[in-house]
Amino acid sequence: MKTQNLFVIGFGTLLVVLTGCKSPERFTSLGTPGGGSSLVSGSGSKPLDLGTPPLELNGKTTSGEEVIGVNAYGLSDDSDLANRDMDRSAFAADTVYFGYDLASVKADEATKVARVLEAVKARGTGYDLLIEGHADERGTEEYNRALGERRALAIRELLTKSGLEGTRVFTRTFGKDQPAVASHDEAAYSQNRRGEFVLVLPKKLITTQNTK
Amino acid sequence: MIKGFCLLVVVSGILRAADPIDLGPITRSVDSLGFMKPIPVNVTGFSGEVDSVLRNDLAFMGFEFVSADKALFQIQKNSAAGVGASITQLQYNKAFTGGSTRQQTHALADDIAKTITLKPGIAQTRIAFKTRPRSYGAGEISISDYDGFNAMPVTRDGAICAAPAWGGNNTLLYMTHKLSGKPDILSHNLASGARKAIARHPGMNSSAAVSPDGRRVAMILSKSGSPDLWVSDLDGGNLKQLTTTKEDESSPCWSPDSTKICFASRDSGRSRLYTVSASGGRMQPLSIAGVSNLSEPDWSPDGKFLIFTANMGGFRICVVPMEGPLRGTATTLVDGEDPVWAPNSRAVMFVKNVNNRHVLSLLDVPSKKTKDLGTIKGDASQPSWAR
Repeated sequence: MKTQNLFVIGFGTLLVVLTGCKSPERFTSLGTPGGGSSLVSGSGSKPLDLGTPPLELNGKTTSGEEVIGVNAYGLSDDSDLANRDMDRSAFAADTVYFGYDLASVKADEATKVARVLEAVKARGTGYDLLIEGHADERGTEEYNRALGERRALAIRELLTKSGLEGTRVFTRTFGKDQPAVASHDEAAYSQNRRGEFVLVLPKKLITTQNTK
Repeated sequence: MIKGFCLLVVVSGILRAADPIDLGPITRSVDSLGFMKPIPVNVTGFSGEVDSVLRNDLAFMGFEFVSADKALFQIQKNSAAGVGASITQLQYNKAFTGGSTRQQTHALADDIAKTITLKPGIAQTRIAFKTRPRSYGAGEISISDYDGFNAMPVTRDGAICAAPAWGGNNTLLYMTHKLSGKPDILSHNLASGARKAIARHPGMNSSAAVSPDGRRVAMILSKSGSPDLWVSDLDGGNLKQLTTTKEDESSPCWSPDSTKICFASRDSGRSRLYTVSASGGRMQPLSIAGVSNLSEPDWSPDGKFLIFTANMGGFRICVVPMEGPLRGTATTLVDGEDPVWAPNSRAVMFVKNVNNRHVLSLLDVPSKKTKDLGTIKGDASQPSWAR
């Protein structure tokens, strides 16, 4: 909440280390400017009001610090994920493919998961993992959104059972919105039923220079 | 906009009280599924836009057009200002002014349908839907009249917006929104544009459905480690988990009395439909014969039917009675997906695949007649009917 106020007008260089600060109001402008004339008055032009709904987190200490990742299955707070840098190439060769309408990781695909597990462990604390779940176009839209998430969660479960902390593994579903191959045959479908690994880089150290 | 129009409508001619007219055996004449058989009418005197709009409206409210000698009702243009008609067999003579000619015609069609069928009119209702104006990856939300006219964008965010659902007496659209990179649920006020985050929990937040009594929202969240069914107050508070399966649930819809939620689950392997009490309890599988891989249920506003998508080597729209002798026996209607009932529990909007483009199409369930909404350009899916 306070990260956006951390502009420093001090002397010299100040190193601000962001440790777990959440900044959900990063997404304040949902409207796209200059989108032509809208017939719905005010549509898309108002800031997102994040004040009203209770943002339920996994737990809180009395001092208000969030305690995330209360267990291996419950998901950890991912609200600052969009602010972190990602390396999409690190595990590009390790994409896990699924059978039709299935969310279980096949034995021959599990070796990829094991490889990713060792790589993330070797990177050490600060590096996290994002799993993006996808489905082919043969399921209906919301069904596939849930199936894509379930696939990502199946991979996450393998990782956490093998000792990777649940707090370091995030999931996102794309349903059938982003096929890897955009044609309409089994060759494409088999490439589209997938879980992609993205390496999440450590939270950045933000420096602000005083130019005076 | 629509509100303003309603205020302008003036009913002239014979101001007869809108008492239900006893039509004797006509309204009791139903087909094997229990739908009212089409009422044969002869429509004369209209031309151009009024004629085509009136016929299209009546066709999806239980009427069929026949010659004068076969008609139960003779509907003819009257001479009043605006758009009006008299019906020979009834003491009916009304006209509608104000708004556009199109709106006047919709108002007349609704009034005729309500007078004769005693069912709610649908001609002045609206739909919301997802459009995909650009390439894969982007989705926006639009609204239009039920027949696809007067389409207007609600979002222009360049993110993935999906799964619109009406709420707040049709002043709000709930939607799945991926601007933050993952699916969250927002509400969008159609009048002011104000948005509120309803569910931004870790993981997936999607498939919002507002209860018919307007008090609760069903949704699919994965925060517990699996895509489960949850229910909350309209603002996202008072959140309660209703299912705890390891596999994924999807596409919740409400019973008309707002006590039950129907949804799809892969709990038993292939996807089946289940119901659960909105206040909690065990999820109960629905026994539906003749179809498999079910998803996207929608409960008819009169409570008598579920319509859903069966995935059997292609998407099929199917309907199953929830009561009566055919309870649990599905009838396959047409190829398509994501069906949603009109307020009259007879017409349905669904998504048709035309050369890998998604097109919204109207379906008259008993006759299986369809009409594509040709005025909506590009790819359109996930219709939600304001009812």
